[in-house]
Amino acid sequence: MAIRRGQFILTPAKKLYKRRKLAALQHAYHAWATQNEERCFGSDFPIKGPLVSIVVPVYNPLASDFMSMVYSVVNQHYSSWELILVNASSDKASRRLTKQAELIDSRIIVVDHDNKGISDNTNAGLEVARGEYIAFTDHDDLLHACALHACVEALSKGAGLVYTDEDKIKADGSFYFDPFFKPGWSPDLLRNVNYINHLTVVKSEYIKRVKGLRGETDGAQDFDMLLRIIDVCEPEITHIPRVLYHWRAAASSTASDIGTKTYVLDAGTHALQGHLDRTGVKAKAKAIANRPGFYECAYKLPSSVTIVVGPVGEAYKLLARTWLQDLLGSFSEYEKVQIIAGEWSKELELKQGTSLTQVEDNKFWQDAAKNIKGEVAVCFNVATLPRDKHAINKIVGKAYGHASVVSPLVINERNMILDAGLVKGGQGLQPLFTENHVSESTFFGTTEWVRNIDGLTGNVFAAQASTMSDILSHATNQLEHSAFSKMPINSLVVDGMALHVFMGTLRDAPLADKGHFNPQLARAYAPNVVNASAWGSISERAERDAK
Amino acid sequence: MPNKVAFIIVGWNNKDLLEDCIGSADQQNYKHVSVYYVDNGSKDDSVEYVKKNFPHVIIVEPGYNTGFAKGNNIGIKEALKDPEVGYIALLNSDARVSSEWTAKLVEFCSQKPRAALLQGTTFDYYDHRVIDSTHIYISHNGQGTQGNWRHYYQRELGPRKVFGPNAAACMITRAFIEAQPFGEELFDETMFMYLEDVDLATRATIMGWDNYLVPGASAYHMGSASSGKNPGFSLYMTFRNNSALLYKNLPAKMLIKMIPDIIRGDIDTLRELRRTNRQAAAKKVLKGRIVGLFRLPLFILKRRKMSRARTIPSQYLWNLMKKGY
Repeated sequence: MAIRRGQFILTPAKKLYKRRKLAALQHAYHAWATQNEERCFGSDFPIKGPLVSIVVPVYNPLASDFMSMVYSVVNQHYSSWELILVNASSDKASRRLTKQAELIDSRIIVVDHDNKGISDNTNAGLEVARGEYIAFTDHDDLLHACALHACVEALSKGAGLVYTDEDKIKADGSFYFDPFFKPGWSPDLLRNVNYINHLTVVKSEYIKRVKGLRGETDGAQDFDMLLRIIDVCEPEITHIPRVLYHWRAAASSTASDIGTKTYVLDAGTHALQGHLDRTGVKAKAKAIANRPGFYECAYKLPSSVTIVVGPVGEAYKLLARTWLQDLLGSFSEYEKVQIIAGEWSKELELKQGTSLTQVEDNKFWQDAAKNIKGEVAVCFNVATLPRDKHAINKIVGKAYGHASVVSPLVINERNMILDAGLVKGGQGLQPLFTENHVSESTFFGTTEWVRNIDGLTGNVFAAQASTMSDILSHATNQLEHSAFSKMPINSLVVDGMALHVFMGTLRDAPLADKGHFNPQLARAYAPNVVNASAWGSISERAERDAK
Repeated sequence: MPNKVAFIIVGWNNKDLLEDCIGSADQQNYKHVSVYYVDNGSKDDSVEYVKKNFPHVIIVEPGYNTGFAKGNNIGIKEALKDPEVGYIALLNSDARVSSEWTAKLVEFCSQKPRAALLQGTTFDYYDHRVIDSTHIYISHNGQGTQGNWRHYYQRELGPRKVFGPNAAACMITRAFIEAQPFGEELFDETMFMYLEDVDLATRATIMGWDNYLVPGASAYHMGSASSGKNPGFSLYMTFRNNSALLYKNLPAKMLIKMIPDIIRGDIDTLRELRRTNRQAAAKKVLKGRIVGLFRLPLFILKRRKMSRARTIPSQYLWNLMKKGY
């Protein structure tokens, strides 16, 4: 067998270095998290107020985990709460322990129930709940001492649904790791993964309107209820950018062996499909095979698509022609394909159904905008090729189905992300995930997810014909990315997954006081903002080279 | 529901401190209060002083120096004879409480049927920005530690379930006293002084009762005024009682896990004392540890009783023996 270059020394060394860096990051996070537990930001919001009901279905927990959970609620700074424990354990010792928990505090209520599935157990608890707001917790997870205080403060300002950041805690409670700093409200991210999850506090009237959890979606019952509340009640959704919930990575929870539970995947697909049907989107929900918890929507494709290729410099004409030929060969699902390009595209070999519209360079964008004939248009300013044959369909389908501006994740041959969109950071719009790999799970989620972002770089993007005409007719000859920052919702699609990036934590969070932890973004505050079009469009490079 | 609070103050030769101490117990907002003074055979005229200045205080005189543990036990037994007393408040003679202390603790107790021992935040007597203790706990190396000792006060740390309170200013519920397995002997009299409050706190935690740090209540404590004049004595007694404390309460597997850390802690203490040129104190520590180990057979029966009364899972107990708890 041939020996690969770097097989014995360089590659293992690099892998070890990366592993140690990640371990150092996790340890740094743990140090911060232990400090965070003590951080109760002084706000004048009173500690007595509207009642919050915390509903916990209890099923055979470990005794120490369960007691830790109960005391983390008893130790809350906000004092108007009631804890409803639904005693559905099959094990007698657990039943006795849950019953004894009633003696700890007069605000704890134990509801005895036979185990009929987690949805039914939780609904039994919801019937007894008297609170104005309802929170759900797992029977072995921990709450920050200020969790309820922060949530009720946000809810009293007019929100209907509030969610916070979370992190994981080892089974014995000794180490905090893997935080998840969630973005602000991102409807497209919710269609990809249940990112809201813990800790969510909702108005109880919404839960009564959607009639609680549904038994047929057990395994993803909270995802289903969340989608139904969002569709039916249209609440105002607020994100609290503080880590207020600790999810115990115990062997018995879904955190570790979700892959083996196929009913969970089916339940999630069913929930997501219900959401798509209720909102009238013509798409099919699918669970991604070896990524439990991630879903994707397979959209109905339009019959005609337009490809707009931006102005190409003199030196790159041959390259552009070759590239465009390859691009056209990489997909085949459309009846009519229209290409809008400059003069260099004269000698292209066009297949059946492909038409070519040539536009002069001096009024390129305005003329292109007028000539779009397809239902969806994809604009290329950089020569990128899709990673597989479904990539183009994903962005075209999403633009068609959700009427948003969609951009794919641009990666290089080593799977490093070159372009993941722009988000509002400490210094204006900044590129996201610049030093991450394509499937890396960072503290801000997996890089491949569909996200809502604040701006596009304009390298590659797709939109419905009317939207695209709007964008292009306002563009100048050098297509600047600021043109896209005016679009309200932009989506980012990677060849494989649609991504939206919308990072609320990046927005106006100075490092010191609000308890945010982002060493990965520390350089966002350092003065080396990457010029988003550093690698430039083809025409820019041509001009530069011509000088 | 009996809700009278009985203050129990044990004094030995500290007449100068009694005015502030008993005075603060008198000036509580909560009116249903009675005060008991237990005099451990003082040589100065503390008893006459109290009789003259605080005539409503009930004085108990055992006649000889019974120590902190037995003195409190006598006072508690006397106080519980009154059926209206629902809570016992222990106050060191070198401590005083603020005027809303009793009210805050009683209000907190009303929602917690399983509360055994409670305290507010105890500050330093002279510098009110410095915390003397918020709680007390056994650390993973077996030493009884005051929580947040000499930390600056930044924000309220309660309400929080803690391992146990510092007995300088704490409250005990009657329900717990009547439920604990050693009958009339609440504090362990075999431990004459030092660490018997940690022992009581451990007992409450192990039996499944809860000890809390209550928000908003403040007390002020000088710290070792009685035996501050004799620091070697305090070190000796601490290390002597430490082995008894651990042997009596903790499960065997946990003890075995802790032994290397205990030894390491002792060696560190000795090295620190030698380094700061306190050789006499180092000798006391060693003597205390050895004498304590020889005294372990005295606690065999008590250990057996405690292991039968233990209800808490030991992993949870281990988690509680950490800095914040």
